[in-house]
Amino acid sequence: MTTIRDELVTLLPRLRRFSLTVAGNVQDAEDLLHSALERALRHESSWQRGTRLDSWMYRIIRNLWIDERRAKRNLNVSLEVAGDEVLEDRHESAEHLLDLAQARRALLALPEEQRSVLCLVVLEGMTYQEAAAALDVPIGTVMSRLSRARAAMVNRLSNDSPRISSIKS
Amino acid sequence: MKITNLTDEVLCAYLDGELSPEARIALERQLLSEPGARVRLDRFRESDDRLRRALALPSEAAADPLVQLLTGDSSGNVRPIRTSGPRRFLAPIGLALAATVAGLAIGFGWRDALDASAPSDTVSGLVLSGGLHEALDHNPSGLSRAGVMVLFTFRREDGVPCRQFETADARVSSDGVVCRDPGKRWRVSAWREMPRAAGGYRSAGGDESPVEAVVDALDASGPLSPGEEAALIAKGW
Repeated sequence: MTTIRDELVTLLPRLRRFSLTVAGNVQDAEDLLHSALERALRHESSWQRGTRLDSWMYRIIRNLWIDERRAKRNLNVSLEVAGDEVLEDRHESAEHLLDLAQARRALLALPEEQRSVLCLVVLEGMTYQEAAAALDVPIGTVMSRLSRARAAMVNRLSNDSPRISSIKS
Repeated sequence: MKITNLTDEVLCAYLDGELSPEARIALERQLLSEPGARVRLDRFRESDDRLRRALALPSEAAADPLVQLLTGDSSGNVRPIRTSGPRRFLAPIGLALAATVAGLAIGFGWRDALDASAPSDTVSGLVLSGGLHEALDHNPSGLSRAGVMVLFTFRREDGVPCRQFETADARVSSDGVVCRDPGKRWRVSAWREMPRAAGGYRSAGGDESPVEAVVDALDASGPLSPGEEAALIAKGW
């Protein structure tokens, strides 16, 4: 029988990506992930086997982040650094790397609430119901944040391109 | 079945497989005759794809110190999170300002855009004037002009148009949301300022954003399409 530790090892890359999305930079994301794992291990008994461990962890990560920021009231996030530090060990063309960095910057320029929803739905493939449960918000909030996030991403990514034509055209 | 309002939320729900089979078929039929919606959907899909590539999970398992943490014999080996000492990217506590809604004290930068002489019967909010008012009157979403970027336009439940925006000058960046009042002015519903480091626009991370919470509460339409927004700009809101 697999233990929670085994399952967390399997989840690590995804948890790290979510932490980065929430925290906005690599150093804080690593600290956040470390702290979340520590909390999970200490409160292992409160996770109900048979329910989604990833959702439980996403909730821990986000709550920790909110708690810490609330305590420190620090509104600064390094948006520049995170875009490039995760490029490590990739061997891709400069143009492609630029493209990826633009997408990361566009994401990290969004409010954290929108980043988290976008990450869970677009990157993790969660349903709206699952994302709402993980973030502890109503489904309607997930839908509105997601549509605003996508609209902002498109706006930012096409900032140097011709304007998108109207839906009602 | 016809979907009467092809909003971004509907397109997102289609993209995410959240529509019922009937609604999905109806939408696909409508898309055949609505090229603008098809373009919008393609843009969302393309943006999603770029995001997935940008944050793709590593294909090979790299040595990960956290694996050691998890596979160790005892949870007592868990290194406590660093709680003291300066973090690399965080500014000193207290530098940041979080100011919202009516009565807020605007510290720098765009405060001159707030019309302090607004009649008292206009109440709860502060109204904008000057360059920021002009920018909100004329700028389409997504374009950065003169230090102002409108993020998107939406409608409140009563139909009044509102706009979420960001500003930046040399020292301060801010984000806020304003709604049009009967006097054809932009009235502040939420506003927050932050000290600005190197780089362009930034949004606040961490704590629930007061601006975002206000937008959540006000937004009854989802982002208006570029065409709907352009029509509002053209007719002067």
